[in-house]
Formats: sequence, C-alpha cells, structure tokens
Amino acid sequence: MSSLIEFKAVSKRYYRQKNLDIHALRHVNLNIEKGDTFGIIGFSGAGKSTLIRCLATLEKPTFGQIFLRGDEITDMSESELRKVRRRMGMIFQQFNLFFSRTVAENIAYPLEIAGVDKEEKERRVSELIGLVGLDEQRYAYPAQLSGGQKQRVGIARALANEPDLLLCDEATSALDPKTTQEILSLLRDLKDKLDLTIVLITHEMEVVKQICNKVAVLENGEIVETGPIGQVFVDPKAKATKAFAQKTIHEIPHHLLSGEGKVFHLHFKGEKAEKPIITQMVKTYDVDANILLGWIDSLQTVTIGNLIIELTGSAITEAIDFLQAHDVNVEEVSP
Amino acid sequence: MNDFSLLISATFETLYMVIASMFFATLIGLPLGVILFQRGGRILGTIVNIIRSFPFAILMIALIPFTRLIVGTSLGTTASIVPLAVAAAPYLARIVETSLQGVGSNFIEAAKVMGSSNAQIIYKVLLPEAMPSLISNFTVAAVNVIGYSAMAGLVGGGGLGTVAINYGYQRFNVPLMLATVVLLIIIVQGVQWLGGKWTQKLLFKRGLS
Repeated sequence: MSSLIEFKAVSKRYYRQKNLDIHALRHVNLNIEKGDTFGIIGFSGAGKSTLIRCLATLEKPTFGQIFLRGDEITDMSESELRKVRRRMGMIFQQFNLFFSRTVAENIAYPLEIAGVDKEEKERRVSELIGLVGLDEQRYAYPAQLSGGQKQRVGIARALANEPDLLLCDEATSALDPKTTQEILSLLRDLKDKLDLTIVLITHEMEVVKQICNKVAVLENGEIVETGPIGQVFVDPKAKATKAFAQKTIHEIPHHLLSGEGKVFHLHFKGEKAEKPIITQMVKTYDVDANILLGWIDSLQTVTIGNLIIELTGSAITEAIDFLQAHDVNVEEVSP
Repeated sequence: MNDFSLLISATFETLYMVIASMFFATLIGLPLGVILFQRGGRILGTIVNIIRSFPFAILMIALIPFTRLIVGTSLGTTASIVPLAVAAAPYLARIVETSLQGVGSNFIEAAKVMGSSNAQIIYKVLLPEAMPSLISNFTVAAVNVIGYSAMAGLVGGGGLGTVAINYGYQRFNVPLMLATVVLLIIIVQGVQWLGGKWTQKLLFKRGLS
C-alpha cells in the first residue's frame, strides 16, 4: 500500500536575482503514513516552511512530485487543488484568524465556502466549539482572545470540513510553554478522536518529543535524518540532529565538575538501564565516575535514560569502549 | 426666494450630488480596485492614473459631451453627478487596491488552504477584513467630492457652489457667500465625523481598538 503522503525528489528554488538563487529544498524524499504524527524539525532557514507550504499546495516545487493518497498534487489544476485542500486542515504560527469574524463565524468559514446548508453548519460549529472548549467565547472576536484560545479557534476551523490530514505550521511557536502543552494535548486528543494524520513543522524539540512518532530533520533544504523518534534522537547521526538532541540537555551543575576529566552524555535504552553498568565499569577500569546529572526522556514510543558523568583516571578510552559494547550510547560533551 | 431658503435647498442639492456621485463612484471604483489588486492591470492602472491626473475643472469640461449623452444636459445637479463620479471612481479604485493590499497575505493563504475560490477570498475575507480602512478612506474621498461639487457649482452645477458664485460673488453678497462656506464646512465636518464614528465602531466591535 502506498503512503498517505509521498515526496519524490522534491526541490524548490526561489529565483531572486542573478547569482542569488535560494535553494529552499533539495531533493527531498519523504513518506508519511496514515496515522502518523510526523514532525519536521529544523533551524530557521532550513526549508521547513517551504516543505509544508508545498504540501499544503500553496507553492509548487520547482522539481519533483508530491503524492497525496496516491494522487499527484504537484500536477493538478487550481480547481482540483481546491478539492484537495478541502480535505486537509492547516493551522499557523500567527493563527491567521479573520478579524472580521467572530469565533463561530471563523469556524463556519470553511463550511460556508463548501456550501454546507445553514442547519448543518450551525450543528457542526457548535460541535467544534465544544471540541476545542470555547463555548464561552463563541461570539467573541479573535482580537479579544488569548494566544491559546486563538489557536483553538484555528484548530476548530481547520477541522470543520472533517479532514483526515492536519498540517501545523509552527503552531505553538507563538505560545508560552504552558499554553503549548495545552495545545499539544488537545492535538493528541483530537488525533485519536478523529483519526487524524498530523504533519507539523517546528524548531522546538519539546513539541516533537511530546507528540510525534516520527521525525525528519531538515538542514539546508535537505533531510539529513529521518525515522521513528526514539531512533533518531537516541542515536543522532547528523550534526543538526545532535544539536537538537543536545538542546534537551539540562543545565550541568558546574560546581560539581572537578575540571580534570572529560564529560560524557550517556543514553540508555529500555532494559539496559536496569543493569549496573556504571558500577561494573568503575570496578573494571581505572576510572572514577562523577555523576553530574540524570533524567529520563519519555518520547512518544520509547523511554530513554540519560546520565551526564565526568570521568577521571587513566583508562577513559577503554571505559567508553566498555560502555559502547554494552549498547550505551556515549557522546562527549563540552560542559 | 429669500437667502435662507436658497441656502437650504442648495445644501440639499450638494448633499444629493455628493451622495449620488459617491454611490456611482463606488459602483465603478470597487470592482476596478479589486481588479487592480488581483491583476495589477497595467492598462487599467494607466487609465486610472490618467483620469486622476486631470484637474477637476478640466475633467468636467472634457466630459460635457459624455454628460449630455447620459443625462441629456450638462447643467444642473444631476448633470454634475457624472463628472464627480468619474473623478472619484479611479480614486476609490486606488483606495480599494491599497486597502486590500494592506490585509496581509497570511489571511489569503489561510483562506486559500481551506479551499476558497478567488472570488470567495475577495468578498468573504479581504473586503470584510479591509472594511475599517475602506470606510475611513472612503470618508476622505467623500470630503474631496464635497470640494469638487462646490467647484462644479461654479460652472452651473447647482448646490452651494452655484449659490456662492451667482448670488454671493457676482452680486457682492458677502454674507451669503460666507454662509455657503460655513455650510460646506459643516457638511465636511459632519461627513468626517460620521465616517470616523463608523470606523471606530467597527474596530471596537472587532476588539481592535
């Protein structure tokens, strides 16, 4: 069976001036399956906006094809695209709600343009308002809402046409951490309730960690790494991925450092965490381990134990080899 | 006819000219503005610029044959509506164009991604979003038209301008002439006040002020 979404060698170039082309996407291949919550993460300028805009059919790739449910959307007429768009919803960083419309009228917009009759429209709007918990704001205008409430309206509006695909363009980047949590848990609920596939782009590691089951890392318009979230972030290969994985490292308490040794970040997966590997290492090799920090990351699919240790002694290299032989991922970090 | 009733009827004539010409100018200018916004319209843009370059007095004279064709005469209040509407329409078109441009592409994209047609984007999103700016700019245009209508009055267009030149200036009736000016000021103030109120009310309702 083919994927819900398939990018085949998609490139996008912007021709600005002579000798100043911007290569926003380079040869992107991507498969997103039905039911995925697929995160595309990258620093700003990596091309993630372009990628989701191509998928939303707001832009056409310069080369390559994009397939949605097996149909090539890069080769469709404007009227065919309108039909495709009505089967997807999209939410935005700046919410993009219509200031001229109340909450209810904003949510009704997609139904209006699809020609849904009045009664059915009213019924759907009430249902959606309830779904995102905005019953009291029904007649408010967007400018009177908080950021979190605005995004709830955005979500309700995006879901009005009962799409099975929701695109999130930095949907939580303008929100504070607490509101981000609320929006993410709403998305998680809705995904289960409505059987959605979610594609989101973000520069926030936290967002990916919390709701995605798969991730692609975008750097300079290229996908440098992709796969299930556990795999990609436990064992990051590309530079950008490592940078994102490191972002989750908590502040190392510098006063605990002796300054004589080297500092390492150890990742333990699953049952490895239960064996006394550190103790064995210290007993076997001439090293001392000073544990600086430890925490557990609960990703969508796996649990990862993290330890930051400082190793001192003469057999650091051997000790590291020992750890790696026991499937512990070791990474030297500069404290 | 005494001066007082003369002024009253002239005031109503002026209001009639302004309201009717703004009505027809909107009828022409609104769709033109939408087209200018959507396509840039190089030819249309040039025509708009040419008409806007004409000094109103010249435009009025140049349009006399056209006015005769439509109204049957080139004199009187109804005849003045033609050059007033022709002068105001391209101005309104530019107002519509810039107001729509001010709405921001993010709204257009949101509408587009929901499957809107271009027409739906214009009349269901862009025009409503631009409404406060449209109203306040149309008010400015209406004030201009009031000024033009007085100018039309100088060459037999009727209204307060005609009273000012025929009864005030030529018959050395300075108080009457001043009275027309005062009435014009009151009309301008009134229109500006109404437009301002309307804009404010809309912004307030939307929680934007």
